[in-house]
Amino acid sequence: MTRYAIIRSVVGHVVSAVLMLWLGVSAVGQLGSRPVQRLRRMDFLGVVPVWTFFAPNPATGDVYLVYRDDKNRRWTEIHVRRPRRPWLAAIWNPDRRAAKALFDIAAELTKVSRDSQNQDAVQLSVPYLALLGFVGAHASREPAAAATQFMLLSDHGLEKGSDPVPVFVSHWHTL
Amino acid sequence: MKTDKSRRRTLDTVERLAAVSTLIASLELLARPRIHDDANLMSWQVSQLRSRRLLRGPIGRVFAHLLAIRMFRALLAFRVLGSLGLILGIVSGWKARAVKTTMAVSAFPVTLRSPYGWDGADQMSAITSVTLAARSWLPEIEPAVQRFFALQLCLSYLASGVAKANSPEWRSGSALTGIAGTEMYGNEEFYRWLQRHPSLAVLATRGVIVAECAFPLVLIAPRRLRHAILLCGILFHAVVARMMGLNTFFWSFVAVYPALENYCRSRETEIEEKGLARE
Repeated sequence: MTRYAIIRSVVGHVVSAVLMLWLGVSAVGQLGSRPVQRLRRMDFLGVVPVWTFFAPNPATGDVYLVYRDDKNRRWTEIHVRRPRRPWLAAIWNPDRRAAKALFDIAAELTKVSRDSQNQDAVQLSVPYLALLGFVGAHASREPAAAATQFMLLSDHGLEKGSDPVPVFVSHWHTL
Repeated sequence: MKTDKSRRRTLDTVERLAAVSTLIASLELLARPRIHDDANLMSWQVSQLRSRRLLRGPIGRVFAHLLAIRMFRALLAFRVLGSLGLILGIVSGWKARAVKTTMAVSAFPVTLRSPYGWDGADQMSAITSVTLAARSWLPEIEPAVQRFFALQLCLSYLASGVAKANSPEWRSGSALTGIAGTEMYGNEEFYRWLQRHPSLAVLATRGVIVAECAFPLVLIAPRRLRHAILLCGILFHAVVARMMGLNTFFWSFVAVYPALENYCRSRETEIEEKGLARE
């Protein structure tokens, strides 16, 4: 056996072991315990998958983003998703990213807001800043506006028996 | 020898099917380019604030270049061309290895750019592309790659089933109707149908839990039952794509099915051969 073949064989065994380790870490990563979840926050690349699709809390409502400015106090919706998904979405669905992004941001922001002792610190959280930047780009289209505020609302989807309820209201921000 | 050949062919099929998922996902991101702008929901400028490591030091500098909007779009364009090359089989040898490696290296940074907007399909796609890139350099790890795919797929359904079994909404049977009633993942006709048949809605919701938890039985089931389970799994993904609009979920998960089937088949053959040797 040549030296090259030996090296290849050793590397092959190491990579195979890494794959099994990855599988083991993936299995442990599914546990909801606090230490595991704390470690998961360090996994920025998302190497450890989350296989808990739509569980434990399924998305049973829609999220809406509205904003207003100091010149026009009426809330205006920023339409992030289409009200009806086209039939072709089973094959081609580019709009799902924006809808999912808004849903993820809303979920994280309400969690941060609920868990935080200092509500001012929420303004420095990543989901808050993501929404603020997004709303700011829309609100600044009103030439006379000097400040803006945004709100997240949630409803029960197609069951439109009741109006959407506010789940988060931001501070006022200078444009 | 025969097993090696069939495993190689199987992993080539996995590669092609997974490339379809990458192709669609990358084209969709390019079709909505504004969502990654600095003032949009998947802004890198904001999401890099998650960690100092993403902002400073050598790693921060690499990401700053790699994930800047123009470079990011170029990366997506490369992923489109790379997946097309793999699907059509027009790249081979060192060029194919280079393409697969670049696609694997770029798989996680694409999702790193923003923590929002991704789903399980993107995770499975990244896992598949990294593992298949490693296989292109080291064909001797093919048995481990096939086993990894088979077990990761079983783990995904099992974890999902257990998480649902722990959820009061899923256990009560209301989750499916709730999801079907949303604009984001719902479907009005399906929602109305579930509302008209509440007992079937409960049965279907609990059925999803049982089916996902029981999926790993595929590893020990006899051939016919195994094929029935796999067929149900493929149908499930097709229904999810149609009803919920999760199109890449179909491709990225179904891509790994051939690896699971071939893994089970080769284990079956091994057991049969051992039995014959004993006789």
